Amino acid sequence: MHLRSSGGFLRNYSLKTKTFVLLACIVLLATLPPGLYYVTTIRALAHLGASERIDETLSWALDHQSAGAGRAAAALALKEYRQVLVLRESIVRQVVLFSIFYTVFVAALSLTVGYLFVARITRGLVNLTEATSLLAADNPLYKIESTEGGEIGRLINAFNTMGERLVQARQEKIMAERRATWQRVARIIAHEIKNPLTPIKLSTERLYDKFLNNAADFPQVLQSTTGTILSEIENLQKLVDTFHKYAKFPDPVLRLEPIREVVEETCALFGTEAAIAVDLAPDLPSINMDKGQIREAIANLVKNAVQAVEEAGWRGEIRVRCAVVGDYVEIAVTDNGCGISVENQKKLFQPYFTTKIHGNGIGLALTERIIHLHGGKILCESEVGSGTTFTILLSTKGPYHGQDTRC
Amino acid sequence: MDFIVGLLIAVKSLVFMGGYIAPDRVPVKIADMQVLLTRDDVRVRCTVANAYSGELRKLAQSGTPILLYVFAEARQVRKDSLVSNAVAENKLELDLVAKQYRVTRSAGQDTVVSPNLDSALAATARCSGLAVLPKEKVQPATSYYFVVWAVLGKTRVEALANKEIDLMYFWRYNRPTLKTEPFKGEQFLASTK
Repeated sequence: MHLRSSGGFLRNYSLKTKTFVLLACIVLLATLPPGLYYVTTIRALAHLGASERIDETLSWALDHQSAGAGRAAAALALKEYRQVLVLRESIVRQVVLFSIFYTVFVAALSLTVGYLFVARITRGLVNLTEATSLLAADNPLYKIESTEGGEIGRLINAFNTMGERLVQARQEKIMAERRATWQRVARIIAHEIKNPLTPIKLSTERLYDKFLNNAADFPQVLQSTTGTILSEIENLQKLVDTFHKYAKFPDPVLRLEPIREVVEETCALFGTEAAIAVDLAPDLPSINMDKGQIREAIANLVKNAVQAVEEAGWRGEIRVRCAVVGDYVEIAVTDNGCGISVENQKKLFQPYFTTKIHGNGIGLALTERIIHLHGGKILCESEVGSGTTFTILLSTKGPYHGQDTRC
Repeated sequence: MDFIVGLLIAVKSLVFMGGYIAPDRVPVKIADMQVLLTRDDVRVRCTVANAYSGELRKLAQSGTPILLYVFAEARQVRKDSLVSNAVAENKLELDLVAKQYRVTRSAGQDTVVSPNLDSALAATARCSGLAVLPKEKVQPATSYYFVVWAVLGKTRVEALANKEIDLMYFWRYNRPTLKTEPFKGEQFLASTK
């Protein structure tokens, strides 16, 4: 089941930022409009009753009152009116100033408290996100210590449980893969050993039979069966040497060598065995490498290409291209053979993995190891029925630095 | 937290301490300071310049009493101790019935009556002959200096249910102050011999 997650204009920001922005919008909406309305109203009130005619009328009344209580009352009224006019402006100014600062203060306080609150409630999720990233990056289990309750607390508990199970599942998978690899290796070795054993057994039985029956052709049989036995023993020896070579592969001895020469020499090894088109860029540099190992790596790829077009059964085309791309020398071996399925591409560089009838699954594993030791990369692009391209990337800058290679 | 404290201080200083009060921002100051000698004492004379902003003028025109106090201190230079002091009260009030401004000055014990606001305000802002240092307190070998400052007093406002307001509000609670150069005591004594 897929859940669609919508983005929005804040999609690249953290949950804390988003929540804080939401809070800020609410605070501003809650404080600014009433604040503005309040200030506008107060300022309007400042002009209420401000009329020169009132002053003139009160002065006239004062002048025309006869002496006594009436005149004193008129004088007081005029005094109070003028006092109001003067003090009202100051009071309004004070109120406006106070209102503005109070609004700003309340907004700032709300945002500060809100920020702390948001930081508090999103802390669990932030921890959860980090732990999930660590777990996704194949790190050891990162258990979240939390005293959170509610949904986030349950989520963290669920994550911890899930993490434990995931780590357990990973360990089981690694064990299963290791077991499967050993089984495959054992099967291949058994098969490879069994092949020469059968002719050895048959030859020995035949020789024994001839010897018991004092056969007249015993010397000839002895000669031919001994030849067969020795030949098969030699095959067995080669098999053991191949496995031994992979198991104890030496570190490369790096020297500055012209890559052009290495590619040309390697392709020439195949002579007329296959039609190989070699396309070498004119500006190829010398790079730090173990010439013998790189030659072996390229040879393995070319050999694979030759076998791929042979298995396909149609007229094969093999192309070896070498050029400088950025800081790398790129060596691409392309064939139009039967191609490799996506499933098999994932296992290409596993030792002893092969899809060939007579293969031992060492060639590509060895090639990958050589390139890895040279700090390079090996890539594979393939389509079933169309062909395959293996690309080696070797750095033109300095010695190897050991990087992962991927298909 | 620092932000909140800072904001509180800003609000306090701007609102409660009268950061922005009146549009008239010309600072009030003590001007035309003079030290006078009489037979019995040393007196100071000064004017409080820019004392009356537009709103204070309007308040005066309303008939509300405006009270101005001028304080003077005579201090010893060496010890920086107070020797003597004096205060003068100038009161301005408009008689709305008579349409006359009356200025009562305690220092000169005089009263000025004028129908004109400007001349009444000028009379209020002037402090003439405030006896600050009696000669019997003067020692010839001692140096003295004078500190003069002015404040506005509180006044009762009928329109605010007879409540008192502090007129220093109109000066943004700033007190104009002036300190003189030191004078030798013998200067005060010699001149009257």
